[in-house]
Amino acid sequence: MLKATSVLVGLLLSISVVAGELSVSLRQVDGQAMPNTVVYLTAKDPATLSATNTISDKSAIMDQIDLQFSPHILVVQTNTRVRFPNSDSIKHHVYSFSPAKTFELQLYKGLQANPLLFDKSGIVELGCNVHDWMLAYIQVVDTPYFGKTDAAGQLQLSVPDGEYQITFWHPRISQEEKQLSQSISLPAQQHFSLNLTNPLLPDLSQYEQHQGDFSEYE
Amino acid sequence: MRRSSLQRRMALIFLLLLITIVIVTVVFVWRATYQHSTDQLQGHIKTSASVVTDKLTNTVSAMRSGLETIAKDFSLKQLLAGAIDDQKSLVSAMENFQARLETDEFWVLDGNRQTLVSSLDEVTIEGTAVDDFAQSGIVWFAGKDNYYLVQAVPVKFVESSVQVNGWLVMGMAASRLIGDELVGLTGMQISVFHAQSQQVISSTFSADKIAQLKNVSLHTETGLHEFALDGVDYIYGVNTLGALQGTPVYSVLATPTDSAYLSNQTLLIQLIIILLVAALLALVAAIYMSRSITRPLQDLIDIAKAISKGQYVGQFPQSNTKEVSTLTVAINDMQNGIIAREQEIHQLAFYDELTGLPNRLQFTQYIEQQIIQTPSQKLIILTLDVDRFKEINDTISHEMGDELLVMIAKRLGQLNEHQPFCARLGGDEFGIVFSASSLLSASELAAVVVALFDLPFSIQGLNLDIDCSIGVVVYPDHGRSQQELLQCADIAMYSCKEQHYRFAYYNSALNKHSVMRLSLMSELRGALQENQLQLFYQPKLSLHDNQVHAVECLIRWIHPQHGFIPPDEFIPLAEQTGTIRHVTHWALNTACAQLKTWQQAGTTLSAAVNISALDLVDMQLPTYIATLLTQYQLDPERLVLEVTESAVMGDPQNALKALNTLRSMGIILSIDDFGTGFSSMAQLKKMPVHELKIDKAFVLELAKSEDDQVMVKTLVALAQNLSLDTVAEGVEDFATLEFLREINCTKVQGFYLSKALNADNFNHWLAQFKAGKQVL
Repeated sequence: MLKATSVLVGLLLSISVVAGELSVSLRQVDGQAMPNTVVYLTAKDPATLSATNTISDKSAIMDQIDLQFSPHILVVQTNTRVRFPNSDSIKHHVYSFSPAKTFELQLYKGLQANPLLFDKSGIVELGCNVHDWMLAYIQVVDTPYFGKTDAAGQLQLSVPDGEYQITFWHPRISQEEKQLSQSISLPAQQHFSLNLTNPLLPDLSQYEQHQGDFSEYE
Repeated sequence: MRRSSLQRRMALIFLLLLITIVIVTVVFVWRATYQHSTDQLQGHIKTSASVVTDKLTNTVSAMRSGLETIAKDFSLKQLLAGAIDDQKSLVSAMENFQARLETDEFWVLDGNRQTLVSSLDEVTIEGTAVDDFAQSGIVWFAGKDNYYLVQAVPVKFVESSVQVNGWLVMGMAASRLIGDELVGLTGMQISVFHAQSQQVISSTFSADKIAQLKNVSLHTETGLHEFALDGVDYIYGVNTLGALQGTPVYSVLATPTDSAYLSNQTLLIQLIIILLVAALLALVAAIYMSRSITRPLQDLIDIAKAISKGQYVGQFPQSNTKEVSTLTVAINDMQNGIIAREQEIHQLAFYDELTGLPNRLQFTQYIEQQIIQTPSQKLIILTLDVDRFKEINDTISHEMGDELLVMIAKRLGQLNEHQPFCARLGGDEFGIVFSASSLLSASELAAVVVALFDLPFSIQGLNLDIDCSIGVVVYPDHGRSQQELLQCADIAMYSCKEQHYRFAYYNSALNKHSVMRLSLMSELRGALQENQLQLFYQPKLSLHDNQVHAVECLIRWIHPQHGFIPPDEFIPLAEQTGTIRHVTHWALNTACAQLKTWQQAGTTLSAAVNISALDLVDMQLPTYIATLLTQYQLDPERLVLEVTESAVMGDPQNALKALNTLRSMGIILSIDDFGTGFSSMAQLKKMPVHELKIDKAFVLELAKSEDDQVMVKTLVALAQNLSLDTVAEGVEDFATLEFLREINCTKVQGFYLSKALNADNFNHWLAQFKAGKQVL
């Protein structure tokens, strides 16, 4: 507990030392706001990077509600433990064959499975072996500076000054890598906006509609 | 051009008609059945093609649904996710699935379409090909030696993800798909053909035929086509059956042409056989029918030919055909008509209409036939001529004359017991032939005939005593031919008439005379041209001065064979035939020429030429004489024309006209043979003549006969009273001459002076006479 507190303090300290607000805006090719998109910044300075990595012990939840994963997209920092509760009254069989995290969980109603540690950065694609339509992504990032755009395509992040690489990800975005991952300098660029030049990939299962307001799960 | 018979023509028309019907029927039926067969075959191929397509589509669907199921299998996803470390488990699982789906080959590709594992290591699937395979439908894939029907499905670790994490591809060998089962189902040979590469993907044909099939350029359009494989003709249809590398693949359904049209051709053959049999039967019927028509026609033709040869036919063919029986009746009528007309003609030709007796033609034919049939048998032939018939005709009437002839014919009928053949030969002439079988002799028979005329003929109340002249000849005594015999009979008959016997036998003396007469007639004109005729000159002595001032020209014919022919014999003939004109012209011409000669010699003479009655009515005679006088430059009075008394009296009016014309020309005219012709004094008075010649009948005996002296004295006195000169001819002695001188006759001529002499002799005689050497 002490250790956890010290980490939190250290984090708070560092933030307090170099705190700065970054405002990110993401728009689709037709000018509409692009919501629910993962945005994260990785420090180019290795010191900063290592400093951020030290902070661990975080946790997150990927629930299953009404035969859907919730949330659809989850962003966590490496070494975050993610719990997989089952809010449905039926059995789910959650799995991933993604290299970042391969696992398989038989989830029964009321059974509290042990949280899984996501220690490798990358995208983990989740499915349910019982219900083919269930799909969720867990983006594991090597940075504490991440978030998802809101319904207006906006994201506010507190990031210390420095040089970063800002990266966007959403399963429906099909954009060139260099556009989705750009350099950013803070506090010089406190407002970063990106307009997608390619149309979105088709929405296979209307996850957005299904889940209503994404922000509900933030 | 050879004419074809009716029968042949009818049979030919029937045959042509039948052939036409047969051909048309066969063509139509064959076309209909062919069209039907073709439609059926087309339908069959279409159905078969859909069977094949359905089978493959079903196979593809089954394979696809199997693959889709497998792709969702969690364990497969696990194996695929762990394939990098553990390929064997994946292969093993795939083999298991393959067995489950009954496919032949499999390929597993990763998310980047790189082959992870495969049942066929040597065949890799290109990344993009997977997209083709992933389409549902028939997709073909070319392996190394084999073709496959393939399907591919993506594997997603999370089904709803857009991320494709791998591909499952399975293939079924084409050879396994296209096999006997389909052949059994469709009844056709099935091939799957890739047009672009000309490769056979699979076929139910044998290997040899498959090899050949690759070289066939297939018609891919719809419809039926044909090709030949290994010597067998096939009909085929083509349908698309998926694709290979994006280019179309076709199913080729083929069936041997023979089997396709077998039923059709069998039908055709049967049809042809039936129609041929029908045609044969119809032909036989046609021949029979045409025979039934033409046979009676042929019979009728034979009959017509027989009729044309003069044979009469009693039996006519029977026919139930209306036209033929009509024709039969017509020919029969024609024959009857011909017979009737022949009889009529025969009657007209061989019988005399008036008396009903046979005519001359039949009479002569009868004699000919008798001679031919029994040459040795004696025939007694009589020709009978009614005496004075012309007179009777003229006196009573022609009608009654005809009636008389009919009565004579009836009386001849009384001879029947002697079996005569009686005929009317023409006019009032009848002929009777007795064959020698008669018991009586020729003269007895002739007497019997004469006796027929003993009783008078009673015509319309008139009783006429009729005499007849009969000539009798006997075959073969008097002649051997009919012509000869009848000529002889006529000669005998005329001699009978002349001699006023009841009948006369022919004798050869009569004939000789007649025959020469006839031949002379034909020779006379030739004689004129050949100078057989000569003029002789007889002097006329003028009694008042005892000088010769005139001659009479007398014609002489020295015939090369017969010698001298007296004018009495040929002049009457010439008068009969009309040749006398030429004779007269010749005589005038010759006389004028002689007068000219004498005139040139200083001798003044006149010449007398006899002209006949015919010459007198020849209107050209004066013209001819004028021409001669001009030609020879003669005085007209040098020419004397002597005309017989009878010639003048025959046609006094025309004779007067002619004589007046001649007299007006200055020609001296003389009446010859005066005293014999019953001249009327009144007419004599009108005659424009200068002199009369007293016939020698009165002069020859003048010296002795007192009657003649009275007659001649009277005649001379008469002439003197009429101021006419007189010439006495036939003076043969001095006493006669002296008597004539006493009664003042003007001239004399006769043998006492000189007979007629030719020109040379006459000149000689005249010279001597003038010299006084001729004693009178």
